[in-house]
Amino acid sequence: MSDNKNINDSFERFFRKKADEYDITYKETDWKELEGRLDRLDQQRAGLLKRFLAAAAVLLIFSLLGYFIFENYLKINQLEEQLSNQQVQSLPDNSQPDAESSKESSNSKFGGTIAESDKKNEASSPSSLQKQLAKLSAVSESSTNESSSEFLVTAGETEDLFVSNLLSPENSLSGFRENNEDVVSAIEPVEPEKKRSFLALRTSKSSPAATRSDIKDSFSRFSVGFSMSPDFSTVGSFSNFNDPGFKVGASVEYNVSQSFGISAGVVYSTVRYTAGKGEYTLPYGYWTNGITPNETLARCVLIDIPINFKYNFIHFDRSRLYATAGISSYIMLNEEYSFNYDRNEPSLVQGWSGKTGTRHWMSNGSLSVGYEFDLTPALSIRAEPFIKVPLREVGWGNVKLYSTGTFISLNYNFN
Amino acid sequence: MFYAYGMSITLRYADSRDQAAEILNDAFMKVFTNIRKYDLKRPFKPWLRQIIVNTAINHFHKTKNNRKWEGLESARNEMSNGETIVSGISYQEIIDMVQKLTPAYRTVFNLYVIEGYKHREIAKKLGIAEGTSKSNLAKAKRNLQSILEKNFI
Repeated sequence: MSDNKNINDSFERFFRKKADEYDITYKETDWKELEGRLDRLDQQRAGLLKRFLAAAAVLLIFSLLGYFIFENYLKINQLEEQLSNQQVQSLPDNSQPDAESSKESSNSKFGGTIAESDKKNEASSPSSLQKQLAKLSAVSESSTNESSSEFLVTAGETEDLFVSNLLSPENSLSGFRENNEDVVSAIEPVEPEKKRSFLALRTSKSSPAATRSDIKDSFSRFSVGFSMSPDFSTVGSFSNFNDPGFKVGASVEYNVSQSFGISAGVVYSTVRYTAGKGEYTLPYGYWTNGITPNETLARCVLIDIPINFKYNFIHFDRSRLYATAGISSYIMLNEEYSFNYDRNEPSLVQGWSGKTGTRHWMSNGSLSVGYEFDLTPALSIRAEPFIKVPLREVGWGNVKLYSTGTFISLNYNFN
Repeated sequence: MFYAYGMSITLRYADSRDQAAEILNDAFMKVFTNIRKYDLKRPFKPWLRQIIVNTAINHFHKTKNNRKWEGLESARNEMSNGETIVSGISYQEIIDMVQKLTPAYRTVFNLYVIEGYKHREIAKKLGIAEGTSKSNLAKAKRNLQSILEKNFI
């Protein structure tokens, strides 16, 4: 027993000793295999990160959209409340104390532009009144106040000052009458205590407020556009962009409000990309002897059908900044691939091409920001950098296609 | 440096050099992905060894269903042609001998004799009974001894 134990111990010692006496030659192929696996892991992580960022960006955009829409909604409610309050207040009441308080309020609202000039011209003549009314129109047009209601009241109060001057005995209406029918017809038959409400009504029909309401209603509901863009596409990750492709398309847009719209389009795209080993997947058994290409060069032609939501988030005088988010569907027209292998053997498949016609509904999501400039009220030009991220795999090689570019488009706005 | 060390472990568990390289790559992938969990105060080599051995055991579990019995006769007749290990002949022959064992015997032998685990621990790792572990070890030693006697003594 003890002999056996000794033999066993020495046997085990022998193997333990020999196991430590290793001298192993390094093989490059072992490392290359590991390197490939590490690269694929990196790509997977990068892909996950990009998907996460894209989702975060979409969430952010929609949150901002929601925030701005809600802000606008609150603002509109607030202004409607003010309008109804002011309309109630504009019912007949004491004129004199109101005229004094209206002086102060008009001072604050217009920065004293008109009230100050009114104070300077105590005994105002018709010509100075004309000038003041002209100023009033100019101020109202440049005002950033979006509601006509607030302006209505202010104009009514301010015109009250003009009226109180006009109605003073030393002023004559004759010269004024010839040139200012609206104002005069408003002023003449009206009792002082009722002039405020009447003027409020008249002012709503006169040019300054009408200009404001025209502007409010003047955004076009429908527009059509023609756009072009270079196309930089890649698969697997946002890197390794190749030769640029090209996009050309048309779109139709329906504007729900001045800020919000929906568009649909058709874009003819030529897409060029290079796919690495893991990014191009074909049915098992396609490759000769299971040898997959190191690199696949692709040239595809496809039709992109985007449906986008557009939000104008900053309005300038003749232009605006907007953001869009949407979904694209791809219809593959023509696909052409050439394969590069580690070892170039003639027996391996060198390329493939075909008119596939496969349809990939809602295959890609898109995000963009843009700047639109109105050349004329009907014609506008836009510059819109975009990114498209894959939601599903497309094409004969089942690739995840990322694209970026900048659309330059010309839009015709119907009134 | 760690490549050779790692290969010296996986060669003992694998059927061939290619399989040993595959197990080693699996182990290194685990090392790279879990490197943040490594406690810098502890020595690296034992941690690496632990991962490699566990990877080899996982591989043993995965290939359980595809396993074929390798009789001693066929083991004795085969010579290792595919090995590219250039070291002492004795080391190469040791590896050849160990690789000729069936995976079950080989794994128990490695875990008990080389890694120093007890039968209870081996049984838990491999999902076998303690008695099975002991009998596998005995059979492994008997097989190795007969190969040694027939080929080298």
